[in-house]
Amino acid sequence: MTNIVVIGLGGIGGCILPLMWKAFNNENTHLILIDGDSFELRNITRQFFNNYGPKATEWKNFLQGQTFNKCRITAVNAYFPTELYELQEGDIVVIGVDNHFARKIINEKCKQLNNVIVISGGNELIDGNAQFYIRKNGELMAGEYLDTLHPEIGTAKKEEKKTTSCDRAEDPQYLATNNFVATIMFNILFNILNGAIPDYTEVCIDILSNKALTNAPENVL
Amino acid sequence: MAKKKVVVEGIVAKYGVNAIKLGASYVGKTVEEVASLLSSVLNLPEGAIATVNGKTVEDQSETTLKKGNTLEFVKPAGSKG
Repeated sequence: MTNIVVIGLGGIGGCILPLMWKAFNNENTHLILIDGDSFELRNITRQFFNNYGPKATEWKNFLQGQTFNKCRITAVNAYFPTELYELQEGDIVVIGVDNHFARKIINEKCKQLNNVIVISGGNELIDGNAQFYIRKNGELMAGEYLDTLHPEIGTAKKEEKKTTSCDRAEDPQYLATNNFVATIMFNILFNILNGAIPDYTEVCIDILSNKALTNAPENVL
Repeated sequence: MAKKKVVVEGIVAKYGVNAIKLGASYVGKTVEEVASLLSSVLNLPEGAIATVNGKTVEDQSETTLKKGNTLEFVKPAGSKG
């Protein structure tokens, strides 16, 4: 059984989750969905939902309701870290959270595992990035830890959770940006699982120029 | 599929999704000097972390660039999701 742990089911997580489900929809997959948030009306322009319930449960119900669902799905309605799910050896961890402190905590937990694949994405209004790393037999095999290129993740401090729509009004996002980042994350995982380990550690995207660029060194003759 | 090879006489500089090819006149300059020259072109934030061929530059005033180097200034990671 392969555990695919999707942490954060907002804009990015909600875009990548259907792709993950479609690609890994078999009896050997256990999808673990982790988010402490519930859907709110303000999410309606860029997130997929039919009810105002907890995001993890709502997504679980939606995916399990698909006629051809074969995988096991667990909803964890809590913020990471949670006693309801401990990351395990061999997990594939997909990070779509909305703050660097959460990325930092997940990154630190994953560094303690001997075997793990981590794919993380984040965005601002029109641009964003996706990172990955693979730990195999206790060593960093490919990619870079999230805080290696981005000390702002490693030094992030816990912030008060913004609870009202007024608090969050200054933080608009676009579905296009969420979706671009999610697609890049999915492509990275697709390549890794098909044996094409990327020669880059990060991909940057921008929806205005419609560009994505890796940080791989250019080939030079 | 084979990757397209890029012929570079000088240096490739990147920031976010933008990449530019710099001429041979940039060879031998320090990362700090190039950062200063490109700050408005690439809209670089002050103190951006730099990598050369994927390795983080510890001292930008001491690291000189060679022909064929890829210099990347790291854009801050997206925080939302």
